[in-house]
Amino acid sequence: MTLRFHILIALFATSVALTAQTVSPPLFNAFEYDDDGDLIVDEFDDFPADATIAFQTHDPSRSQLGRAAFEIDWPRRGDDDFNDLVLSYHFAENTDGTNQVVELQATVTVVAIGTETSVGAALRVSLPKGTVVKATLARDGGVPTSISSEPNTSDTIYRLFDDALLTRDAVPFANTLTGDPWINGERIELRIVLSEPISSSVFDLASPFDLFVFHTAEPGREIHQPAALPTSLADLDFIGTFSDATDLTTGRTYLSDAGLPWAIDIPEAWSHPTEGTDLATAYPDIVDWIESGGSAKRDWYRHPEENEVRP
Amino acid sequence: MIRIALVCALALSAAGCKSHRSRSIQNVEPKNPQTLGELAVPEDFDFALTRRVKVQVELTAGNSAVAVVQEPGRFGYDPFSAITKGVVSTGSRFDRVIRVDVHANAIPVLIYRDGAFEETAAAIDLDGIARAVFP
Repeated sequence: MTLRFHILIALFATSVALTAQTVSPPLFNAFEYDDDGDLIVDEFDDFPADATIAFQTHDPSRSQLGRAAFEIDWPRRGDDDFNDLVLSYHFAENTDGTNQVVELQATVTVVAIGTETSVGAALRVSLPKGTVVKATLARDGGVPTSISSEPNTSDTIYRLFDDALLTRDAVPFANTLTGDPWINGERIELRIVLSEPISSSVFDLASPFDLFVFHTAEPGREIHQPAALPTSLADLDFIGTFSDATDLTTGRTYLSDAGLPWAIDIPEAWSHPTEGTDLATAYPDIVDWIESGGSAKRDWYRHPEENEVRP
Repeated sequence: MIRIALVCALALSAAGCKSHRSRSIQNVEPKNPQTLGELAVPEDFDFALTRRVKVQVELTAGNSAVAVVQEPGRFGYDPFSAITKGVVSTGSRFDRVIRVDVHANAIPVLIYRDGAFEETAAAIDLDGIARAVFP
């Protein structure tokens, strides 16, 4: 179909009531383009060559990758260097021209492995069972292969890798020791195509994505961000032991009896501490941030002691 | 023969030690003047640096539009600062949850309608909702 025909269709579509959609597409100006004919002008169409997808919602943003940093000694306290496993991530909800969610995407890259212990990473996706028709995983831009969510659980969980040390070019203490050459870790892309479009309101204020890690030898030993609940595959015998003060009844989870987390989530590029360097040493401003209850030094994560972090 | 074996063993041992030393945590000494464990963490302190906010865009009249929700502080249309986009028409609100800095108090919302941008700063209320209404 020609561009001119698309525009005519768009003009016509906006002049009549659309019974199959809850929203009307915007009017086009004659000089605007809509190559895929989804009634969304190309300037605003994140997928101008795909009529089934129009917009992308970014987490944390379009211009930044987030960082999830984990201490894997949970439920014991470790050395608090928050580099045992560092992952960068970008999550996206892709919607069609009527604002319905049609697919979810997650891109996760191994940034650092500050341990000799085997740990894996997984993504819990807050979708009802049965809505996913196809999920694929691609590594380092390779050919996507089909992947199934974990069996025997009511949660929708996709394992990204079982052992970080077996990802491409991985070694113990990768990118955590000062002076070692930087290793570009494996990048994993998960794409989940929904069987039929759904309203994004099903997610409400909760994120559809929960990136967590687990011990390879004890997969039930899951480590999540604070306030996240363990999955149905978690071994709850770990909860509340050693330093962990998780209270599943109140939702105060994955915090120690001293109120400290085992995972932090930074919404932008971040330099993690070097091996054995306490987070408070690498980022002295965090002391004021915590002790002020969050009112002071809010951007503590942007001001490292340069000699105490890996860029 | 024995001498060769001894030399090889010593060489391998040295190589192994060197390799192990370069990858071992044992040689790393924490240099902290203060550790996280020494901090007095306020009760119920939330380590989250971001929070999720529901953005609602409404038109009270006029033609349908493309709604663009941008990162806090990024006013003026910037496609690289757009966190989410969608379609909004009179009587059909655009709703989307986004993640923003925990201290953000307003979110830039633009609509593109009839060939022009209109823009507002949607304040985040106590329920975590940022509502932008365009006449």
